Amino acid sequence: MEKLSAATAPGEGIRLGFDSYSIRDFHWKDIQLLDYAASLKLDTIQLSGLSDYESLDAEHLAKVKEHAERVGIAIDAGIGCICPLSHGWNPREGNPTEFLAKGLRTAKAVGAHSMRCYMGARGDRPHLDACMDVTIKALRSVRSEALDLGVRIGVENHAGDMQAREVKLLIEESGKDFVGSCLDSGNPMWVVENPLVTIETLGPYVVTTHIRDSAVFETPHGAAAQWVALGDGSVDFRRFLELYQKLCPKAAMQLEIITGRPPTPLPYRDPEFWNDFPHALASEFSRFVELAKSGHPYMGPMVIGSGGKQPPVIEAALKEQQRSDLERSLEYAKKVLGVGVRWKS
Amino acid sequence: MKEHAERLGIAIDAGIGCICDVSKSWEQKNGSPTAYLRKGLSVAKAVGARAMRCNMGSRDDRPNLERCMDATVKALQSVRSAALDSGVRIAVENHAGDMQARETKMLIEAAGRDFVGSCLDSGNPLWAVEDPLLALETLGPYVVTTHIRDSAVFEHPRGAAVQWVALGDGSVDFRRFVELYQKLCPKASMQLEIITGIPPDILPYLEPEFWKVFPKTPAWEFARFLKLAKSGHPYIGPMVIAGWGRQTPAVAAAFKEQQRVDLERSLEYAKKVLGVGVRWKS
Repeated sequence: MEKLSAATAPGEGIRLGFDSYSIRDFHWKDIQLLDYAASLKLDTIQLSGLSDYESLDAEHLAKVKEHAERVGIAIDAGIGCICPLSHGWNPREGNPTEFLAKGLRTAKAVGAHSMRCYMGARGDRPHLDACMDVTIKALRSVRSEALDLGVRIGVENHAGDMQAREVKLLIEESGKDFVGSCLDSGNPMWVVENPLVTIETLGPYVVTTHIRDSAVFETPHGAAAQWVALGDGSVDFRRFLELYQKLCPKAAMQLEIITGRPPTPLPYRDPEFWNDFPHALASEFSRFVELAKSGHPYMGPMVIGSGGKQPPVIEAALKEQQRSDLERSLEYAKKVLGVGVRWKS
Repeated sequence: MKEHAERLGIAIDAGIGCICDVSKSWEQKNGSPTAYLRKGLSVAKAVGARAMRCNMGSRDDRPNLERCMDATVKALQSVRSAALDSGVRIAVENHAGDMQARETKMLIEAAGRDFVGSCLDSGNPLWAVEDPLLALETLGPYVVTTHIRDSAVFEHPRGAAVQWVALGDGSVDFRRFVELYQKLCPKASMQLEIITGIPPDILPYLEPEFWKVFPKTPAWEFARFLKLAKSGHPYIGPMVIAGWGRQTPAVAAAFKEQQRVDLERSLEYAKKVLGVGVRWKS
């Protein structure tokens, strides 16, 4: 691990934390997650779903807020899918307006100033325009509540649902006074987008983040990408941090480390692949090709599950890996990229 | 054991480890190569085996390959009569990148092909930038037992990389491999040696230093490997990749389970896709 001096560290002054999804198999709740973040000398945490709370009772949320203040961890809040046309929509949430309002109130109650949410996944790209229209409508429906509560909504570029240019359009259409970006640096892979293009496009809109590395490489059908721990992949994070410093230095860098999954094939040499990307720009795509050409597969140890239910021993190994890969990614963010404030004091 | 094997209807191919006392893999506790080979032959005979696998070293021995080969030939020749008397043929493996097939063939010929043959390993040739089909073409007539596994081979910025995978998951054309096998060594057992869970190994052939340990490799042979790497791609399926070192208990448990799962699905591939095996068909 090549360490940088404070003078040259590109992450100087950027707050460091993690998205609770990184250690999802531990099933820890709010207080335990806050204590864990504090034990790692972090600045912040993203509680990215309402299931991260032991309870949504006002009394409990006040306790979470107090605890967060006591241990010195700022909370970025979050909810899930807000588009009822998406495959990811959960009808139990009622309607998108109710779900967003519940999330905003929860965010406010725990002292958060941002709330992450997302539209859908790559399975929604065949009806992207309809999904975006509905999502914009949902966001606009909570404009006054969001502004009154002082919570900005961070729409994530999630699981291949949108390219950065599309997210930017959605933010602008919804209203950039209360909607911004939850910039995810791993998901751009699924939409053949270089994460540097993503940050260049969405940087000015970023309110919170999901940061992870990816190993990208060429295959006979195009390319493949695998999410890996920070520093293990192909993304130039020094350059990423330079842009971050310039475009969104106040947003917390929340690591969302997802390892243990096989590489995702991106068969862009097959014409059918482009059916879902009719408006993608060659100038942007060429940046992804450049990344894939310069990258190679991840060659280190990793427990790679097959998706779905695993044998118990594989589940146990995957769970352990979540924590160890998050912790070594945080170490890389601190020691190599110089991100984080509290650990330096 | 011999009786139990007969009762179950399983023929045993026997084996020992490193027989070269110049190799970095040699274990002093085995006494001398001659004593170790004799012990192995005696055990092989006792359990009813007609083949005994052994190996010379690993790729770490390539800098002094000729010395290692000389010592190994000498060790083998020292047990010639014992081997011939026991009716057990000694099968020298192309092991962990120690020798290319051409070199193994040379060693067998020098030691005496009347009692020494090949334990053909289809995964190890990759560590010596060799196409497994070339290894079979070269060693096929000498094969007495085998170690068969598949490998994912692919180009890498430094040259190529290779990862051992379950049979059918890799880049090797096993239909062609089995055709050649039928032609060259149909009486040898196809013993699967499935080794998964190891990260891809980089073969930095674009760097001049790489070639210091392969000074005599013919370009035409290497070209066969290049063709394989060019056509291959990394394995992108699930795998517990743990490396060689000590593991945490959770990873070690997952790794252990994978060994059995990957062996069994490889055997299934050998049976159902390649049609290998006799007993399961009856």
